[in-house]
Amino acid sequence: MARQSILIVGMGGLGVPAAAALVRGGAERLGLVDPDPVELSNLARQVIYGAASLGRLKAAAAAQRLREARPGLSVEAYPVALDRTNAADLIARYDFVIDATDDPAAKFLINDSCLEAGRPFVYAGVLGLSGQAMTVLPGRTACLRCLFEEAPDPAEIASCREAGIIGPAAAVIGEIEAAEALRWLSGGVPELAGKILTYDGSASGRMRVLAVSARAGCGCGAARRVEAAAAFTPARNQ
Amino acid sequence: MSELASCFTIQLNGEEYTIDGDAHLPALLERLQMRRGRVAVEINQAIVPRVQYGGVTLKPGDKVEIINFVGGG
Repeated sequence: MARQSILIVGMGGLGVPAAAALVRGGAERLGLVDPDPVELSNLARQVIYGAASLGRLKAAAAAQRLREARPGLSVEAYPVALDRTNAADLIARYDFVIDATDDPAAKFLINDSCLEAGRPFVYAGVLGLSGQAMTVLPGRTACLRCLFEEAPDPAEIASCREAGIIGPAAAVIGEIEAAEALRWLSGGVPELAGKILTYDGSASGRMRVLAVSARAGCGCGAARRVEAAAAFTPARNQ
Repeated sequence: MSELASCFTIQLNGEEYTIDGDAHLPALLERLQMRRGRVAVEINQAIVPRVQYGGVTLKPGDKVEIINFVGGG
């Protein structure tokens, strides 16, 4: 099956640079999911929106701007929140999913729904001047639950509204997400499949890529494969 | 817990780090002010399930990676 379409969940700090990079990179068909309207505070780092976008739904405003940027581009706007009632249906319509949400629970919903549908996706998160990204190939590489098990208690997470996001961090990570999607569309293996990239744009300015293995007991397809392989490993002589 | 009080070095997130005192993993997380509910810990390339944190004692030369979950976007 040809790989040609990408669903972006969240058209904020991550989704906007990801979408722009995908259009530049030659993506043919995009879906944009976001329930929120454009607010004044968004304009500084979500540069696809302008003053004329204020009050409009982000999904629709972004779709219009992307079509203007590249006539012929197919863009579908979904001005809804991804939830348990619509996730499977929306994800099934696309070949690759970009997690650009600002909600930990939504990130785990994307993880679970993509595993169920067999759709590859790239997870990402940003906060302040830092960010991270990891691509998941269902049944082949570690998933979000292999690493973090479950969505953290909201009280433990400093949200973007509290801690803020500095534009460059979101732009770096959003563009990396787009690059992962484009590698998949071109028939290749995303660079961050089975690896997590962490970017610290503050004092250290350090970017690291760390291989992550499936966690025994996770229950995802990759973990089951690892467990099955271990079960068939001949026992060493005592 | 005096039998666990020790001094040695590990690799923590790619950099040398000295364990001086309690070598249990939860003690390290506490020292780093990291909450177990929002981190992933990998030791020598194997992810440690959270329910096992209490039983993990770090050893000299361990390669420890602690990744904070980041949920913003």
